[in-house]
Amino acid sequence: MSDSTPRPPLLASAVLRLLLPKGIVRDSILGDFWEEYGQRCEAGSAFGARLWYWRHALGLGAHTLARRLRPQRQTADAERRSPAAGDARTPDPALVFGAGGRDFSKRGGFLDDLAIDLRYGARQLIRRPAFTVMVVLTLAVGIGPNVAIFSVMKGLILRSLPYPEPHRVVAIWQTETSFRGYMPLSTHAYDELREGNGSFAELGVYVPYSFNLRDEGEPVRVDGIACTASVLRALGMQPALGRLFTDAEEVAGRNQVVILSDGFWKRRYASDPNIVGKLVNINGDGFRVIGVMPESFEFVSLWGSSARPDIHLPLVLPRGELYRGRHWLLSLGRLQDGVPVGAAEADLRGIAARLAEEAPNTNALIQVWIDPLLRSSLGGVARTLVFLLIIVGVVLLIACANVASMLLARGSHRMTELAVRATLGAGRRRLVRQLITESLLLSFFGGIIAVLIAMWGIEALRGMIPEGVPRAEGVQLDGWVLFFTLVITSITGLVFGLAPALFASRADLAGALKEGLGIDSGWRSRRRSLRLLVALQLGMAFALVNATMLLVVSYRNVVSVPIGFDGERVLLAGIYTDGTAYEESEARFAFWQDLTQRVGGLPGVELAAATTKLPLRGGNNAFVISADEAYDPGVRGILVEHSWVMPGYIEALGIPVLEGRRLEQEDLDATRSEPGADVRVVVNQALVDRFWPGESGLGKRLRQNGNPPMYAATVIGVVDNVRQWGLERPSLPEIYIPYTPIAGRPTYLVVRTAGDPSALVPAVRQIVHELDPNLAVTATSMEEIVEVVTETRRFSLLLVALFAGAALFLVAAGTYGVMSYSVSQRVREVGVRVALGADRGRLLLFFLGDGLRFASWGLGLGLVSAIWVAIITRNQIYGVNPFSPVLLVGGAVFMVAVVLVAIAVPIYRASRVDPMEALRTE
Amino acid sequence: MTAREVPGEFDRRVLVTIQQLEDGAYAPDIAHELERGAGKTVSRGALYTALDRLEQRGLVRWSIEEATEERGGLPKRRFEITETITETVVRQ
Repeated sequence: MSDSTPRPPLLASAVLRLLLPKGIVRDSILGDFWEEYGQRCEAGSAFGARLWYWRHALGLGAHTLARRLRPQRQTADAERRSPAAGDARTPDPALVFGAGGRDFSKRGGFLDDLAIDLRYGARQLIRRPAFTVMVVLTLAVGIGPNVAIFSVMKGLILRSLPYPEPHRVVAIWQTETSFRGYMPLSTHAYDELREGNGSFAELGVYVPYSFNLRDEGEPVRVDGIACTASVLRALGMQPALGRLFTDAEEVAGRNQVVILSDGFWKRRYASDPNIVGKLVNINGDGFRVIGVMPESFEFVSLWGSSARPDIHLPLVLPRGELYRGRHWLLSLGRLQDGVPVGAAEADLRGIAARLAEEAPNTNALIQVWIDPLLRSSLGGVARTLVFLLIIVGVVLLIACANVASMLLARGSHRMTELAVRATLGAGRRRLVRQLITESLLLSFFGGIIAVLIAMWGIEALRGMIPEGVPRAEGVQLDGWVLFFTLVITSITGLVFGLAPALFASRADLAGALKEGLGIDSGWRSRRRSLRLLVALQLGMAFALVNATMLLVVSYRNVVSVPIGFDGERVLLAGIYTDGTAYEESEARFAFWQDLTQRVGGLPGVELAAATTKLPLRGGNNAFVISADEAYDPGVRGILVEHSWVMPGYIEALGIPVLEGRRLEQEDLDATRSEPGADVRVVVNQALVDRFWPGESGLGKRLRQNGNPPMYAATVIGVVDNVRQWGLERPSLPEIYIPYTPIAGRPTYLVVRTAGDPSALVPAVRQIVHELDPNLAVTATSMEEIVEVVTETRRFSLLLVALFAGAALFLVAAGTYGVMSYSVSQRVREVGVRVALGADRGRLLLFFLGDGLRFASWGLGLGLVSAIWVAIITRNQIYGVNPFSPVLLVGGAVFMVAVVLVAIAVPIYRASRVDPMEALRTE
Repeated sequence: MTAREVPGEFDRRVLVTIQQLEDGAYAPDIAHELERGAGKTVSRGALYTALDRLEQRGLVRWSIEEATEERGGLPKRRFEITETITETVVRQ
């Protein structure tokens, strides 16, 4: 084929190829289209030519289809007029002679046969409405969850980020050399990487912040980011109104400019077209609005930061010695065109190696790596979604096996009909095709209902996506999801339709005809297949049940983890003391001292304190060494969480003191009055166990691993371990230091109350505003925080339990169906046995054994699949052995119980067979 | 020619066009010619259906011509009017 003429649109020519009957005529028409398309491309736009191709291809297709359906309609009319048409049992002649229905159309081919098959199939399905509804619903239950989960995956993972050339946008992380971790950059590293690299078109850093925004009335807390100008340039977006920052605005004094998000501009400023140039009060200072980002812009935040930024401010980087070792800057960059990630990473690593040599003090053992932005932004969500997709995949397989068994059982009713058609000349291929068309028809109807289920499911899932997952609103039913549904529906139709179709078409004719006379010779082999299918379903359902139990046990383990504090009746209020009014550390300190004292005096308050870090919400860590160790830049020390707290914090949260005492006011005063002396600190038991195993921690000395160290400390008390990074990660060593406020981070007011903590919110807010009307207060309770950290787990547990429930229902229905069928086929045998004096108890046992036998195949199979599911569930579980024998046995017992319930009715019916009645059916 | 075999208006135009394009016309040429005459786009679906119909009634026949590169290596059909009806068509 030629390269010189443009190739016509692939899909359109495939459609044409499919619709036209095969042969030289089709090829010549395709050639005409090809040639004309080429001419149109040369003469005008490729788009116009494409449009022309599509239009005429579809038009020609429609004409061809209409012509081909016409002769059949005439035939059908003729048939209706013929006397034999009155007999409903006469099979459709179009199919009986169906070596292709070609008798009726000289040009017969794929489409003619398809039309006949479809009409005939539809008639078959309408004839048995109950069966059709059952199958369609089962399929919908199988397909729906797949569509819903796929749409979530598509929205979150498969959709590229909303930036130009998104593959060039990457996240840059520093890490310990020993493992690949997500460590933000230090100011120093950022400067060096930005200046020294030859791989990035833009490289910038940003920090998610909350700001106090006040225009009129009550100040509000607004989530935003402070970023370098290069960050917005790296994302490649232009503002809808106004302009972006410039590098010159990253300097204190010139930084008082702000860019709004589209949503915030609409919500807060009612889409004011003249917003650019106006002043807003942020953290007590006036900031000029210089731009509004477009609606499509979305700042994909890293590190599970839940905030969707509403405002973007220039980041003024402090560049003192103190910041050399402080890793606090999230970083992203745009690679130069054509530079692969690997090359850029090697480039940055070269700089990191140089830094480690030049400044081992802060950079030894630290490496740099690059992660695609999308992956960095998703965190663990991708893994959970893949896990859920596997689970719903299993549900779909169960649904397929279920429907296959229904079709197989129905095969007995259709054997006669198929045999008659085969006798009259329909080939095996033709019959298989007819049956598969019916399966596809069923699965398409199932697919339609599945889409309805998925629409509801997507709504539910969207509400349950944990906060912090970016782009959750992109989860929706769109063209791609519908295409996926079509594909999965077709595959489903083939999977459940193929086996019964092959089976039915292979049946021997003589036997089938005899069956028409009431003698079913094929039912034994059919029963074997049916049992295999039920065993398959049992096996897969067993695996789901096991997965559910693993998640239930994990959930129970997680929520019963000793969290190390008492979160009841504790009010939390996050307050950012930022802006020029709090530039001096003294001003911040004074505010917090005042605030805790005044809130402490409120009626209903037992204790009020403050902290820079809350339990369960991640941390703020640094490396620490024992005071008697000599400083060595090549040694990292032990990673320790740091909380700066006001006296009363440990008591307010009810953290048990194991040794020594809590921090008191005098410790705070001492820290402030004797700079340079050891600070008095409280540590947790995990720290004592790491530094001085088996010894008392009291009086021991520590220091931050730096040169010079940030602090040196003496331990005055040891408290119980508090969980820091959610419930599931064991407690790290932690140190509680007398309060020093840190700029750019919230300090939390922690209030232990006598009654309902939320009742105190207005009073606390009032005190804050009396102290400073510019400060916004966000209030929550410690109980809510505990609730939130178990949310994701509860969510996937609920979903899996729901799917397992649906699967169990399908399996129970399938087992019941097969057992009923088996019993109905053996009525005569039972009748004879009873007539010959068999006692009913033995009969009952006989059928029970029969039922349990195939249950045991299923459980054997289930053991294998349960172990497989346990392997994929591994990273979703907590504190439980994925191969726990207790759970496996429990699951097996449960499955046997389900089987017993499902077979109870058919067995009972079998044991009540009246021999006279049974023999009369002969 | 029975009543049923008398070509309709569009079919007749196609026949006349084939007649006018000497040396055997092929579909894109016929289409362009028709479009020029009518001053509007001719649906390819209608054209190929008409050609098919005319062929079935024995009014036109076609022959295959060598494939060329600008057609993606696909064959070309050239249509001509069967001698017997030439007169009928022209007279109408």
